[in-house]
Amino acid sequence: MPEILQIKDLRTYFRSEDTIVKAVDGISYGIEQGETLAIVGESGCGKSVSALSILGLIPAPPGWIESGEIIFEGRDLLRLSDSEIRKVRGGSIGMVFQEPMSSLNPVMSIERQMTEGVRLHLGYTKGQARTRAIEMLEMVGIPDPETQLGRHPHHFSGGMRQRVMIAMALSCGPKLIIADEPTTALDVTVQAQILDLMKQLCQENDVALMIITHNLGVVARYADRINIMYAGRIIEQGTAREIYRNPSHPYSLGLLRSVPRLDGVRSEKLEPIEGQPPDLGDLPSGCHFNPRCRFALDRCTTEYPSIVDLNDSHKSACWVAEDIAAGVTN
Amino acid sequence: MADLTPEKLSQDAARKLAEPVVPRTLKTAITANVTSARKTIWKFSKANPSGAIGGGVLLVIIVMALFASLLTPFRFDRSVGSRLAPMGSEARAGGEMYLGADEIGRDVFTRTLHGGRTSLYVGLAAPLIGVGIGLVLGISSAYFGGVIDLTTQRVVDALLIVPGLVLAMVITLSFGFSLQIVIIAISINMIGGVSRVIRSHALALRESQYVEALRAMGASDTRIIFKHLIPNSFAPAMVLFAVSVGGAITTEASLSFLGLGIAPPRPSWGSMLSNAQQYFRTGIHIVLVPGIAIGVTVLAVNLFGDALRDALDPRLRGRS
Amino acid sequence: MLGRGRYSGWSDELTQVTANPNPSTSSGGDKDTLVDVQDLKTHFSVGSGLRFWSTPDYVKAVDGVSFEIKRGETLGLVGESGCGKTTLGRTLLRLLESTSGDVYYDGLNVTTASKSELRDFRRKAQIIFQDPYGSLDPRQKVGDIVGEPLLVHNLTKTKAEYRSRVSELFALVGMNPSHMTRYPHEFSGGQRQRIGIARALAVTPEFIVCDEPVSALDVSIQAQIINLLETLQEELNLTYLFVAHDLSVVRHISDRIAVMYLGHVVEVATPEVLYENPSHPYTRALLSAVPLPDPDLEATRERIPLIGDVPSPLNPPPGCVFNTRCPIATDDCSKIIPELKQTHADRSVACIHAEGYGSY
Repeated sequence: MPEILQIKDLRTYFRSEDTIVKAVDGISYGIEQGETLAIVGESGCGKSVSALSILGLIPAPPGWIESGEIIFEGRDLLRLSDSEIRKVRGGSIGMVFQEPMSSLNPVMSIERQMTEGVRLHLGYTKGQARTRAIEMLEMVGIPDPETQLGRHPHHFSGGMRQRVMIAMALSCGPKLIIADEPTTALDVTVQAQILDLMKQLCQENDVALMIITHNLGVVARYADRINIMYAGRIIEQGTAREIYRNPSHPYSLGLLRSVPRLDGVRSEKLEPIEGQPPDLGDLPSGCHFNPRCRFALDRCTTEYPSIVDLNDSHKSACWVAEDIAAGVTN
Repeated sequence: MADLTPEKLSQDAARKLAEPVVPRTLKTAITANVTSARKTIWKFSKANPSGAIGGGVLLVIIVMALFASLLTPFRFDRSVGSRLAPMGSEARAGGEMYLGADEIGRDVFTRTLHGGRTSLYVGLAAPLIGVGIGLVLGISSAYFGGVIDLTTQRVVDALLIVPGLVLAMVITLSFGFSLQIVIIAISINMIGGVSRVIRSHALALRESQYVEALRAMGASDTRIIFKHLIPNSFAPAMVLFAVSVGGAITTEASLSFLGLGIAPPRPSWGSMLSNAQQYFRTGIHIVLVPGIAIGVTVLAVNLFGDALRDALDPRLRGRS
Repeated sequence: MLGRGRYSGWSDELTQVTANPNPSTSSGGDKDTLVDVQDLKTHFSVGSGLRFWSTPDYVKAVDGVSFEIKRGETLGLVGESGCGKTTLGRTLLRLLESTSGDVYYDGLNVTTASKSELRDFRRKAQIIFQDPYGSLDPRQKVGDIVGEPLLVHNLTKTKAEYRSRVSELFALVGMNPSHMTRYPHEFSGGQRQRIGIARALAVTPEFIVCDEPVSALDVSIQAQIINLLETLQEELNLTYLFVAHDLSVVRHISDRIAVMYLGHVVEVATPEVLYENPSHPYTRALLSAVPLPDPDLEATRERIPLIGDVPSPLNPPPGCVFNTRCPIATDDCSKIIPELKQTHADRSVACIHAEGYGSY
């Protein structure tokens, strides 16, 4: 499938007192039409910052985009003017955020918020926009849409608000939806409903979906391909099956081993990754993961690993990636 | 972290605790304290330059006001020169009047210094009392809730209904025009507002998990209030204090203007300012001097107060 | 008290648990049972101020819960938000006042305990919180945070003794004691959680309510803290109530698990029985909703979707609270409130349609 979005060597930095925090430090990847791509990592790895960079939502005084290209529909999004990027935001690229309470305006009715998008981007009249809004609410499974339109966000539960966000994101017929931790604030049963809905709608409308999360289970169920990030870089990329069956980076391996599995054996002790995630303003030299890595070699402390191509789709940034992939572990 | 076993850590700790404490003589103790005080001031100034300037200016003003009698040969209540003499004029009996003379011929510089004593005293004492009482009321209201909260807040409601100046006037009229009464009158005005702000802050604190942890360990209410709620309310209290200083000085000025403040001839910047209004064209200096004095002091207090609040916040101190 | 493991090196004052001379009422007399909860209800009235004209509404956070926790075991408590598990944990420790029902701790009736009895109780039962950022006073040095319980209960005699106890506590949770002069903001989430654990251990408790202790931590740190909690349990003979919403974590650490929904316990079972063959329809739906880190398995798993959203605890449905969303509900379900009944050696269920219900 053709790639609709391509990110090349993106670097987003922030100034904090007298240090430079390299939140995103050289990431490159693409998203194919209609696929579901997951960006996985823990807090501070840069996954949210990379998503905000795509849409030009990085707060300008402390942060800036140091370098890189983001090619979407033949244009580099990073070179667009403010007004041009605003046309893209909410139009051809939709976004769903984590906290539905704070991303919906509490004093505006749902109707006003939902129709804003289509009226702005597609030039609908008020009546056309209202019809479209009712269609969208039905599509996301909200019962009795005509009445619900007039209500305000606090009348809805977390799950329903997230459905409204999804409807808003889809209303202008985007090619890509970026969902930043869309279900982290929701209960497990509601999470499942919302993610099923998103996946189903995206497949029906051939919309690409980028899910940003730290939840390894969610990723396994819904993603076609996965990028794992650590300290501002992508350290492993591959299809879902490749990553779970054959993790080829010590961090991925550690993550998968340290999580208790619902279907696995109840072992005596878990195998945590020792140490703490690094301070992004003071990164270790060489591979950023080396202080916590049980496979670290001398080389790892001096040279950042180059990308190893394990096959067409599976890549890992580790000097011993092939050994790990082959199952040669101590 | 992985190879730090509990046994090894205990040994390290035990060794550290076993080191003898070196006894100090009084002299070494004093020099040590002075050096560390100097170091603290240097660190504070580097981190908060505007605060340091504010603090410095405030210190100068206070010292000058305290040593007023030593700094001028003139008295503040006697006419020593011609009326509204401009700055730098000669007094009748000799000696320079640096800031000129006022409408009765008294030396403005002398009156400014003595007036500083009054204004500073009122400007710092009234907010101190007002914020202090407001803090206690606000925290008890928030922490104990229930009946205590209801009654306290109704009393505060009553306080807030009466316009501040009117309340102060009634108090001085009833109890006299001394410095102490004026300070109390002004501070009572502040209690209401302060207690409201502190109450809402303390309500949020009360719900925090560390307060819950304190209750879970069996800490008494006294401990929670004095060791935890009050220190954590210091930041808003400091801001409220700094903001109230200017207000206190001007309220005192209004009272003096109406003749219901501190009795003349004791000067205060506020009263000097009000008396000087009619001489705006003929002797602008007697308007400007007290006005600038008030402005500079309020600014200095605010800058220093902000810096102090930040300096005392452990989160902004970085690694210790 | 029988051998308190690593506590046994500490002085007598520290480890002596005041025996209860007059237990307020009995609770089954089973020496093995440490915590006995009987028909506990905690309702909150909604709306503040004076109301003369309308009856207040109540949030029925905990609405009739009964269970036991045995000495030395870990009882997991799972459920989604609003099910009442957090309220239950706090009511057990009397950090919240219950509306009715009783909680017995080792013979003492916690719900009616006097002030002095409660003080002794606080030395035996402690809590670890979810939020590593909000659970430590930002203005206190971490050494003082950990040592404060020692001061509150006068557990140390001299300053040197105090300092050495605090160092020992730091070491116990894997932290460097020389860091005790630092402030909370200088530590990471995982380290702060360790500080919170050290604080809870200062009074040498027997029972700890762990309220979502790892939910706010990164995945790679969660395993460290879980391992720490397990190690401490072995070394210090602790009993845990482990409240969480992450089913995989709960399965790993618990000896038995209780599932809550809207203020009621709907199933209690050992992990093996619960996860392999869940009986209550809510448990089944809950387990099927948890995504597993295995794409192939995920593709073939059975999914049991639930209709609609969780009802409000202000107005729970009549009869079985789950009947409005239950895939196997019948008419009777909205008329009868099912009690928790044992259906198997290792399982109790509250569902009239559960296999073996009422006949064990």
